[in-house]
Amino acid sequence: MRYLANLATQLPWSFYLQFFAWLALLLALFLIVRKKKISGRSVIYAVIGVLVLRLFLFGNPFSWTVYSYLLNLDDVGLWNRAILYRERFRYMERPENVQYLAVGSSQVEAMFGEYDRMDEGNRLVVFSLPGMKPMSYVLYREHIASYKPKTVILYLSEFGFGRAPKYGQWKMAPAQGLYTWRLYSLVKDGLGDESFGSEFSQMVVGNWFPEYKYKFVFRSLLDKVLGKQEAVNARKLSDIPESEWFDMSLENFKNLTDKYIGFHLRFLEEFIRFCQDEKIDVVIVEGDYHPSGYSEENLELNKVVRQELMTLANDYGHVKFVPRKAAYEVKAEHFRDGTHVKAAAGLEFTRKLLGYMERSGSQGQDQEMVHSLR
Amino acid sequence: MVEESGRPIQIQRYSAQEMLFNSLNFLLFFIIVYSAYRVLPHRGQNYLLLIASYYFYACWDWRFLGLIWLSTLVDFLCGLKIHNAVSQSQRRLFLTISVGVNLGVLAFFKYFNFFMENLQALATSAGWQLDDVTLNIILPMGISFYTFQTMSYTIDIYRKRLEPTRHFGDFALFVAFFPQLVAGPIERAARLLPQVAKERVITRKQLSDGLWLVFFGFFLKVFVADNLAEVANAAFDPSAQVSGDVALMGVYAFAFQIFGDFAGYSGIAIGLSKLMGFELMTNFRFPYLVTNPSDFWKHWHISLSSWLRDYLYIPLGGSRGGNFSLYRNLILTMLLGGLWHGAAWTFVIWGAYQGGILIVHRMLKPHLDKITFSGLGGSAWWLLRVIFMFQVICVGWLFFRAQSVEQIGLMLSSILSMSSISSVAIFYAMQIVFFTWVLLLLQIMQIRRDDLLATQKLSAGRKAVLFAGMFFLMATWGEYGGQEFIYFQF
Repeated sequence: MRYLANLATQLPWSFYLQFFAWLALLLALFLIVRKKKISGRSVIYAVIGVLVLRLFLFGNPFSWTVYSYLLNLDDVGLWNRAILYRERFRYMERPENVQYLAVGSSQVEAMFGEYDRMDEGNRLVVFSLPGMKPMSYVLYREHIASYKPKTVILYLSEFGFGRAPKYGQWKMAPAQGLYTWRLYSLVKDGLGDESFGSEFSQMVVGNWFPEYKYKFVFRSLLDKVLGKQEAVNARKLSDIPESEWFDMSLENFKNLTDKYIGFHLRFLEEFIRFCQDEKIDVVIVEGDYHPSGYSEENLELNKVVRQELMTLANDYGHVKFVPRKAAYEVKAEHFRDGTHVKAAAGLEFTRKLLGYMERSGSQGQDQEMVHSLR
Repeated sequence: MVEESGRPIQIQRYSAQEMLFNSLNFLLFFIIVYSAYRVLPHRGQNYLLLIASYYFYACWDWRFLGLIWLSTLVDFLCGLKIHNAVSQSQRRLFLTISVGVNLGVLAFFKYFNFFMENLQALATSAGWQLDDVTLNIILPMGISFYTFQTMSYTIDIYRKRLEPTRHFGDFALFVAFFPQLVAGPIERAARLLPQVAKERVITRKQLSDGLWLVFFGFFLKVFVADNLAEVANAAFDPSAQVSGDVALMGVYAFAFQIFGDFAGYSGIAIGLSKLMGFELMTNFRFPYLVTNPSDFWKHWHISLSSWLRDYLYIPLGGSRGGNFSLYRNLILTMLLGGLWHGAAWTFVIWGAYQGGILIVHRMLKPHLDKITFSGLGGSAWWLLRVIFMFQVICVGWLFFRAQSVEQIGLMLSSILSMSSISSVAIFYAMQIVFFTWVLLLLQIMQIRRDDLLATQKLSAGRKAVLFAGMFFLMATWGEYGGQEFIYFQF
């Protein structure tokens, strides 16, 4: 309760204004319909009821705080847990004077998170979602721009480009409005014949019906109330030992493919163009992972992806590519599992990277470094 | 259609993602058709519906459109011939052609392999060796529904209860009308054909009732049926040896799953038809709030049970001719009713069981009628009988849903030897309660007012709370995996 009270004081006044304006509007509509005895009143009342319910269940950070308090990692899983946090902080004011915004998957959180937590001046802030790939940069573009960063840092490698887009995550993205059409053509052209219609439809429906979009909250709550986990004796995520996480994460390196590179690049370029319009610089840091994942195939894939990223950096003046090991070399002992570095290594990496960028600037290519890679 | 010979029985199921009522594809299809429908004149509406119906069916499998056309053509011509025949023998001949073609097609696609397989097993047990002559046959969608519907047309003309239509397009639409084409209700020509032929006026009440029925149908499908499917599927998984308590919960879950699924489909079909000015027959009332098997069949799949009554049970003699012929007719009717659902011994057992409980009820009825209570005692007696009857129905559902006769035996014995209740069964029980409580409340309201549209008579405020609540339950806990309707496979 104390947390909720604190939260109430931290929220910007614009949130309360918007919230109560909606309530007043719906109340006014209700009173007008009742007074005028308009036909089909029951349906209009029902719509008003649904909209009021939406405000209280999804349209405020208090409910999201309650959900994230009630539902832990074992109840909802990694991705949905991140969504609960995202929704909870969506209404908060963004930190001011953000110079760098590191955007990406949990790898980004591991690499830059510690610096973000220690950095009181908000020089660098992290926005990450588990498994975030270039398509999600585009889906969350407005959210990213709302931080008003000078530079966006992306942490990309064959590890992300070599895996299929996560269709299930599309639904959870913010509503896209008219941009949905553009998104449709990007997905359609990018995936060719592959079936994506069902997931795309889910995203569109989710845009209009938050009850559907966030159904995992209520399903998880129901399962929790009914004791599903105990009944079916499901293994809890939190019970998995670190060594097993490590082994599981190594599995991720086994099936990297060049099949989806074009798809991811298409979205990365879209995001880069968006940043150009928003006057945000983009730094693409070539990501790394545990050396036990450096198979011959993966190293071949690395060359392809690196070449594509360098090409993008050459094509767009506001994009800089920082190759792996240019600023700081991450070694096997720095990893806590196959893909995530330990906090201390992340902190060191971030410091070195920011120093490197300050020396070489966040635009244009470090020609010497790029040349040595060719 | 016949893809390969020499293989064991294999009735294939459709991927069925294209034109399910609970799909966006169908929503888009209906919006387009309905928009055009509202601006066209009567004849144009009929042609539009006919084309839309064929398109709807072709989305499932265009190859079987030929079968619908065959049924349509044969029954249209036979109807005219029967009506114009100068002698009784001629009338009988054309009726035989009509029934023969319809049942022949049905028998081939639905029962050929079942028959051959069992013939082979019988021959083998007698020491003879027969060649394997089973075929790899795909069951055409909705074949059992539209063949019964078209057969009733020629039979009614033969019985001089119906004048044949002279308009081929009207008749074709009667056969293929898309809302009820693949899973009913099985309409009678006397009821639907005049609605096709006459100019339709869509009233405000039809619009409002239609929208409610579609909404309620979706609720039954995505909130009740598809959620409980998970429990039923787990309990009836032939590869898993489930304990008695889990099996029991699986049977209860299936009871509500099949009701939600089929009544949901029927509700949507009836609702969509109302939006277009058609009135289809009621297919379900409150089948789990009945006190005896006879009432159950007056409330469950009414269009099939009344079809079987009118075209099988009564022609067999019905209740005339003493107890023996009555019992024989009941058993025969229900056995064929069971077989109508599919070519498997589990359906035969289910049919025999339904016939059996109807006979037992007939025997006990005079004694049961003597037991009467008043006031609270009467309500308690009613409730007791409803609960007992629900158990009796559920035994039938076990036969119906089981994958094999062996599974029936295994599940029955595990339920009867059940000694404790596991946490999984408790979890399943609570799921069943959660996903059925709204349905039960609505059904109690319907039975108290004896009106399936009782909710339509609530005040605007109460209706709004009901709509908003159901919408919320549906959107947040609904299953949207595009699950096929169970009755599509029949």
